[in-house]
Amino acid sequence: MGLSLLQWMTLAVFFVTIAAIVVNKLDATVAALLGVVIMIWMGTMSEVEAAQLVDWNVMAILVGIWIMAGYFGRSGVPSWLSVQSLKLSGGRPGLLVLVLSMLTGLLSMFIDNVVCILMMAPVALPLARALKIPATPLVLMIGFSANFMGTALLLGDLPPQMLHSVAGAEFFDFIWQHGRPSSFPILMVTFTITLAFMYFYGFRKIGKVSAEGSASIKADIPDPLFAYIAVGMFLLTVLAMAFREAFGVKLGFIALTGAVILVLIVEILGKKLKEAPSFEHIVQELDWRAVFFYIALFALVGGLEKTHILDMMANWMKPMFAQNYALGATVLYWVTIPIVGIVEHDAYILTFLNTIKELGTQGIPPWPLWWMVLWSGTLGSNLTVAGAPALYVALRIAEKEEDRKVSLREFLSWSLAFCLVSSVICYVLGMLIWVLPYSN
Amino acid sequence: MFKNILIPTDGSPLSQKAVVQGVALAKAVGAKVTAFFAAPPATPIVYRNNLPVGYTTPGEHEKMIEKTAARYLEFVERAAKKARVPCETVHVTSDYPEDDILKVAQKKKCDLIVMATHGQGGLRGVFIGSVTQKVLNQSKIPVMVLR
Repeated sequence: MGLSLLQWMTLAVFFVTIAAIVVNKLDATVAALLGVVIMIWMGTMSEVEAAQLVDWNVMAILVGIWIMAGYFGRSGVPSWLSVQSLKLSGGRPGLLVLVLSMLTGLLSMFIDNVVCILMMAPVALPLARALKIPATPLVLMIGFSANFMGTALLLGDLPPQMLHSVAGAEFFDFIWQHGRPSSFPILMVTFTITLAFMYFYGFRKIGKVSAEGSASIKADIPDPLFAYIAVGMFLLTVLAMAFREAFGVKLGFIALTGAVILVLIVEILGKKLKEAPSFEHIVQELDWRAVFFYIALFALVGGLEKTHILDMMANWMKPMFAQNYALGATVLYWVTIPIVGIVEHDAYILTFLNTIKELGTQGIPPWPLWWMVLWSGTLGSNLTVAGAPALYVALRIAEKEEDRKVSLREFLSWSLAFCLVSSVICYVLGMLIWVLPYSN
Repeated sequence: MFKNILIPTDGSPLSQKAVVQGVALAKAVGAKVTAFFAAPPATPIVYRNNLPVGYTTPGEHEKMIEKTAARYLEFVERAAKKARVPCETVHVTSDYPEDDILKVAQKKKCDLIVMATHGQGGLRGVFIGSVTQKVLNQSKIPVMVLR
């Protein structure tokens, strides 16, 4: 069955929009919004339908968590955690890089990747100077780690939230699902092995061991009451989100409730909290460009869904999975890795999550494929800065610190190793735990 | 006439020829020379002419780069000493030597850049190396290119 004129035009608008985002000549958010506007004028969908195609629950999760992360970032806790990492490393530079990477990875399971990097890099750089660690590999490791572990749990990044939106994956599904370990355990094992590899690859003989240098760096939490409130509300909200089904409300509503209560407490206590930023300041710091980009992304992919292009893609892909499920999953995984390395990964992942949903209605088990596309889509995006905005932010911080441009070959000498090793380990675990048990 | 001549080198035979001629010119006009070398960042992968050729730890790579930089800059220092021309050396970490040549020329108030048509990059530009080409295009001070 061929494509209708509207389908061709919708597909063309989608690809031109993605190309505009990739070449970066036009602001990504503007390009995505423009794509949606053109689709509406073409008749792919009405303006009301475009708004309905956006998952506002996911947007509420993002904004709610970002508001809380804004307060958390200013509580002094990230700085305190970094100094604890330094103590834990005993002033050994290579070990410090690993501990900071692990800390960033753990934080990014709850905090947006870009926010996580902006939180961790400024506190890690003074430690790097003290131990003579080159800034570029350290900041890149922080970027890779934030990007990597954002997918381990539901809250850290858009792709797991998209899985929640498309497939209904709940908080605990990211830990254990269908009687087997899922995202968190698999990515945690992959992350730990990858960090160990990176230590031997590039960090075991880096910098200068300095017990005195590390002893001279101290970080006190300037306002303990504010820190307790910020961290406490954050943890309570995460806990409430984990037990969402018991409350019977949407995750986004819980995230926004937590954020509003935190804002309220901070505003009521007012001047008693010396270090607390104003709500206005927190709202100004929110990445509104990203919010509008994600809104447009849902509408764009929704356009493909509405014109049944995703159904056709699913029909086209079905024989590959029906004939040899393991081979199909392998192809999907390894084709995804290089693509998301050069194309913004959120659009790709959302498109394929929806396509796999269609495959699911045609009798192909969707869950192993959903996980494989989620993992490969995240791990592959560590290849270049084009794949993930978090890496672009990390690169800019490294360049500013060292006052020089970082070349593609320098970037690749770190990213390629990280990306390849993590992708291979995750592939093996994903196949053994998820794909092969479902294979025919 | 010229007071401070910037001589970038990448250690290639042609750039060493440019060093010798640049120093001779400095002697003739009574200028000092500023020798410049841009070393690549110390990564685990070792590159030659933009192609990965091996692996080493960044620490060892850095030592290797330091040695190479010292050797290349020492060649200029020796030539200058022999000609009794005052010499200063500048060594930076960068994958973009053309940008740094221009930056150093401005910072050190150089009034002439003397460099070879090609460096280690060989045939990257068919008639003229890409670094030299970029310096020629962007420099605000005279550039003398030697074959």
